[in-house]
Amino acid sequence: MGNRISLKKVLMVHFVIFLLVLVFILNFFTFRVLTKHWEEEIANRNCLLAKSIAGEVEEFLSEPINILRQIQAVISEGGLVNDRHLDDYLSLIVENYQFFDMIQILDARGDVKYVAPFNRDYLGTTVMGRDFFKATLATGQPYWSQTFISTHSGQPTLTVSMFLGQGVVVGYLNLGKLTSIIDRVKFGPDSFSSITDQAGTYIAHTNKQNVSQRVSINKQESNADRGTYRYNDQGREMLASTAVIERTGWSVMVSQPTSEVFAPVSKARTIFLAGTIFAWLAAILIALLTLNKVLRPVSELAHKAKEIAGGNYDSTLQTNTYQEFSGLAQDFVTMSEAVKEREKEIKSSLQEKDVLLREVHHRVKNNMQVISSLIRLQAGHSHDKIQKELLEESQHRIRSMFLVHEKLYQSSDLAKIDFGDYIYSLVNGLYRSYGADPEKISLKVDVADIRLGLDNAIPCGLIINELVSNALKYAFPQHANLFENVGHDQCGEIKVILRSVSEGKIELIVSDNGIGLPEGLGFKNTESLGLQLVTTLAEDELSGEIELNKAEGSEYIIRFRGVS
Amino acid sequence: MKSKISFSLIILVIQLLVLSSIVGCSSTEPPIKIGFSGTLTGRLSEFGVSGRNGVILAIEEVNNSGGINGQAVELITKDDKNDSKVAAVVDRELINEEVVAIIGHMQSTPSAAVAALMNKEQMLMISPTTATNSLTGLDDFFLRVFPANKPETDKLAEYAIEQMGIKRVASAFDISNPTFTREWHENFQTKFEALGGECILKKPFDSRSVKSFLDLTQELLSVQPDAIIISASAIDTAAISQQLRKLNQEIPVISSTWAMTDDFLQYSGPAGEGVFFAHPLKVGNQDEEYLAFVDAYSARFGNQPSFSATFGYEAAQVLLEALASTDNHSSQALKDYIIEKRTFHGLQGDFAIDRFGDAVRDVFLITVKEGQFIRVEQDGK
Repeated sequence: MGNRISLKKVLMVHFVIFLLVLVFILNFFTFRVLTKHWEEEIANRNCLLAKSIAGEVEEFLSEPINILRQIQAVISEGGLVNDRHLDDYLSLIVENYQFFDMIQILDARGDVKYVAPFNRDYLGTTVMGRDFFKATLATGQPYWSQTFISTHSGQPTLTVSMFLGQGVVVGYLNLGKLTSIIDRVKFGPDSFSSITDQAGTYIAHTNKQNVSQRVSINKQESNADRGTYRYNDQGREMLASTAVIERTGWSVMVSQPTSEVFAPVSKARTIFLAGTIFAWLAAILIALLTLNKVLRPVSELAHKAKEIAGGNYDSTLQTNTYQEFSGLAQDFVTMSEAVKEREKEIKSSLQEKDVLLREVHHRVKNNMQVISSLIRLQAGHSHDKIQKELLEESQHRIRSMFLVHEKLYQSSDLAKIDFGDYIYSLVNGLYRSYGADPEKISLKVDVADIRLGLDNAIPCGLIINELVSNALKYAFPQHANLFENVGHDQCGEIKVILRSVSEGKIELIVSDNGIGLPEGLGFKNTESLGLQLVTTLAEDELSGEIELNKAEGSEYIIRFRGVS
Repeated sequence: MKSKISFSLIILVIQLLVLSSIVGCSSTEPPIKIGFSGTLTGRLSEFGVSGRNGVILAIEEVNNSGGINGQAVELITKDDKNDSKVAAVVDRELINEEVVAIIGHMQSTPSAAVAALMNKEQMLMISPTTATNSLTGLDDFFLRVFPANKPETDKLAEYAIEQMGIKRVASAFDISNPTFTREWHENFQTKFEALGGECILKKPFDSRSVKSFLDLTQELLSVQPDAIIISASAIDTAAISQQLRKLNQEIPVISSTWAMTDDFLQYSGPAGEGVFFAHPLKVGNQDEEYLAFVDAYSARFGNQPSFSATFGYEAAQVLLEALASTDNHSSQALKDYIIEKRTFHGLQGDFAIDRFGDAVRDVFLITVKEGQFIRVEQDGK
């Protein structure tokens, strides 16, 4: 009884916590794995895109190089006989390959010897101070310059230059072609792709302004070696994938806001989140419903058990939840019916025994009554007064006993009798027997609601019989002739009190206000059979104690432990 | 029933806590916005792009050091296209974007065009390179870290007369930036003629539409001057120098500050040898601080900083210092701080900004020798 935790609460908490943790862990790890997978997919896709752009740019770059090589070959083979032919040849190339804004052929000092389209301002000027000229002469390799503002177009331009042996051929490239490659990549509104030169300056960008204004990427935030990485752009996280154009050292970058790139991941996160909440709520609901479904039959069984304990076997039991509970309920009903049947049998058996016991008591009473009648008849035929009195006393004693049996078979439970009723019957019989006038010797019976068993009732009955008989016979000498009314005023009183005192003890008091015992006569050492009987019955049969109070008449107080 | 409800509530709260920890959230203080206006596109854009890059470098350094009192700085750049009307439009855009101040413009013409707007809107503007005298001595919201051109033209005129013995000059100036070039030319001419010289040809040209620098150069030479005076951008000054070289003319060339950039050396090559400038840039500066700046700039942008980058960086430094030193970031408070402080430490040592917001710096005589800018000693060597 000490453990008062509700099974329902325990099951509910365990069930819900288990589901909470399980669903959370499951969703958490599933989402982590999926997110990682998606991120890798997106990173790979962007990386491929960057590499694809880089490949396209590489392909584009090979074109001007090839043309410059072609010019180099033509000049070195001396295929063009004079300056006019070379000018026409260069002009033709610029016209046909529109990514060239201008082509110049420089001598070893950097002086412009030929220019297409023809512009006499440029002829004879020197590019000796320009980085591309110095680098081409120094390396002998094709050189791609950084962007600069073209004096020809006034726009950002870069050059590709090639060593000619006796000079350098340089092509001024407009960045339009690179831009057109970038523009083919379509993204969200905040995404961009770009190409930066060796210095990190944009030479192509989704936002053209970055090229025209020669914006430089912060190289601390950009690193082509990193492949795909995240960086912060004015408080916005971006995912960038880069690829290097080996020929020029340029970088291609595909950059998207992570919020845009991972929009599907964000959606999935929302779905997972909603799913988790739904699963949790569903778990709680299911837990409540399931527990209710599990515990309802248990509750009904408990209720039914109480009803059966109360003797109601007729109420039905709803058992249509689970198979186990149906079986249990069926067994319970079977048990209930068996108990009902057994109770019926016991009742029947008890009833039979009850009838038998009543009959026994009745016959005992009848037999004792016959004995009593026989003794009374015997007494009637006796002329010896003493003998007659002895027979009458015996008759009274027998009567006190059969009255007990009479009251027992009249009693509802056959085990105990209403002792008050018994005392009235007993004492009235004695009054009649001794011819006492209740008007002169009154009887007061004060019996609490005490029911005595056969073991206590017969000794008590015999004690009362003896003491009341003594009182009637000796306590009131003014009425010495009990059978004659001498006309004295009534003043005698006999009291019989039976009451519970403490701790299961019962006190029987039989008193009279008569003359009391003669001086010197102890009730325990008397010759009187009656008083000896009283002492013996009180101490031996009732295992009690007896005392006599002689203050006013005689008051016998017997205390004994009642037997339930 | 009551316990069942409270139990469900506890579960719900746990769920919400767990979910909120998954979703997560964060908040940061908004950055301090600074505007930049300069010519970022077109033929004259080198000047503006370099200036912008200098400003970017200064701001990135501050942000990498934790920002202004923990607050990041955001730069919003605008292209004035070297057009006065566009300059006013983009400046108003910056004002609308609630910048605390504008660094710019780089050329005198757009600066002069928006000065009134800045005063009306009480928006602080700090120019890295504006040299016009028309904005000198005005108690306004226009401040600068570059001196006005009068000391420069005076120095050049004096040097031309006294050291080079030049008496007659022909001058060309680019009217795409008229506020600067006309004024520069007039200042030079005034001083030059006051010292006994004569300006025998004034040739304005528009770099946006010039057809032939060869023709222009030949026209300048046609009056047989002792020297050519050019007030134009680096590439246009280089273009004229190239034509002079092509025509085998060993004639002295004196240029305005505008052209004294690395581009001039690149585009002119040997044709730029011997061209004279008077400039506040300490050429050959070996101060550790300056060299560190050069290294950082080169690493960030892949080329050497021109003077516009240097002065752009210094303009940003002045503004950032004012922002860091004042709780109130209103233009008036920032201006008051700068005027009151007066002396600032820049990449080239200390310089002053007077009570009118004009920079007070020394100007040095510079020429090109072996492809490098070098300072001309006092004895004229």
